[in-house]
Amino acid sequence: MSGKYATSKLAKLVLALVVCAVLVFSNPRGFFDPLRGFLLTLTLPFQRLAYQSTRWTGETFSFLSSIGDIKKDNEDLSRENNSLAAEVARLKEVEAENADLRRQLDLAPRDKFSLIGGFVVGQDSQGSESWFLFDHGAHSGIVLGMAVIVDNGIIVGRVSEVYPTSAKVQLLTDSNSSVNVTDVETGAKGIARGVYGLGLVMDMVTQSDQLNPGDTVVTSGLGGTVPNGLLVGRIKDIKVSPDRLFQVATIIPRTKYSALDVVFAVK
Amino acid sequence: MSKKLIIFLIIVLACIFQVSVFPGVFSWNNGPDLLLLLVIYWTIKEGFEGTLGRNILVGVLADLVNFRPVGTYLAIFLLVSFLVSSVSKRFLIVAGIWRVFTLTATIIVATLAERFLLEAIFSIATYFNRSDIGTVPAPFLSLVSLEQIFLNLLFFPLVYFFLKKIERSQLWSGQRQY
Repeated sequence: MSGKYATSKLAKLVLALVVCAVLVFSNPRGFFDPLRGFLLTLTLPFQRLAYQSTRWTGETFSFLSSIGDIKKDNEDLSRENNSLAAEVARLKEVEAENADLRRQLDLAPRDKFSLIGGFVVGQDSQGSESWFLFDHGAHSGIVLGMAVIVDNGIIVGRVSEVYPTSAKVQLLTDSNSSVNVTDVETGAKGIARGVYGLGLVMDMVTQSDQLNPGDTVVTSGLGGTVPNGLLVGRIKDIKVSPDRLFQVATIIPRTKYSALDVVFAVK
Repeated sequence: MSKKLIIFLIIVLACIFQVSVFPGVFSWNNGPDLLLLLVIYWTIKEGFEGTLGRNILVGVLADLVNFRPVGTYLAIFLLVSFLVSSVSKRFLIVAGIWRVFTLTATIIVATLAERFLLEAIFSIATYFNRSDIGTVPAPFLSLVSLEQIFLNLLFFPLVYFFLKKIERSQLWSGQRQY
């Protein structure tokens, strides 16, 4: 009797697994996307509330725990303020020169993007920074492939799936993410790829191109899907690829992807 | 309120916590896997076949909110449920402190099984050039897995007592108190 029961249980499991394997490898996105869109629409207000509450609580605790450091921080900031005043005076001149060079090189002015602003309401929960959920979707004009930025032009990812009221944004650190980039200082071109959702590398840089630690990496605009001039990060170190054909540079992203709050989709 | 509706709401609540609360609280966007803990609890209580429908719902919703192809977490949770059911029938019949050790070991094995199966599915997909199915999250043998084991062990008692309270309440039995 117990043998028959075990066989019945195993048979059900095997049948279920076969169905799952067919579903996964056929991956009928068109079939399940309406259901996903409906579920996301239903849970969006609660996700927004939950995410914002968590961020607010985290920031409050962070503030309370940092009270002891305020005096030291204050002294450090006063010193830094003095040196920055001198730097500001110098940079005003550089700003004028930058605007002129941008016009000449046809780079996108940083304050001229048409943006759709919104909040992050959810993130990848499987131990890697691969995606986050944006609280605007097709109804707000979001389309597939849009670049998503924070602050004044720091790219964090691209829209990879769009639903009526929300969109999934694939972060640059996702293993499937690739964006054409360029080294601002040397002009070297490459592709910024994610690594397990944990880091970012600039790959496919030819051996003849120059890369230096500390160089700034921005989007190059090649391919036409992502505007040029969006800041990606800084180069940390440079290695040679395993096949010894290209250089590979580790990039430190300019912003912390786990602390995203307000983001903008670039039209 | 219908028992099925309560179960559905519990699963949806767990999904919201997993996607919108825990990534902002824990490092590496790594929080306790509430959906896995629900599967473990219900399987221990009612067995594999008794919770088959419920585990299918958990798997489908997990796939939808985590943007995985439907069938990924479904397969993983069914396998974990089968494993837990086999272990619980043989080893969780003991009483006292040994039950706690066995339960702890069950949660550890279930967490590792989930991460291993996730990596296996996406490694197979990558081998067949099907990166559209998904990519491996953090590697199976990593600090991320260890952290998730620790968090699952920490949160299981909370899940256990929460569900016990719900089951003892009037909402579950549908009986009115006069």
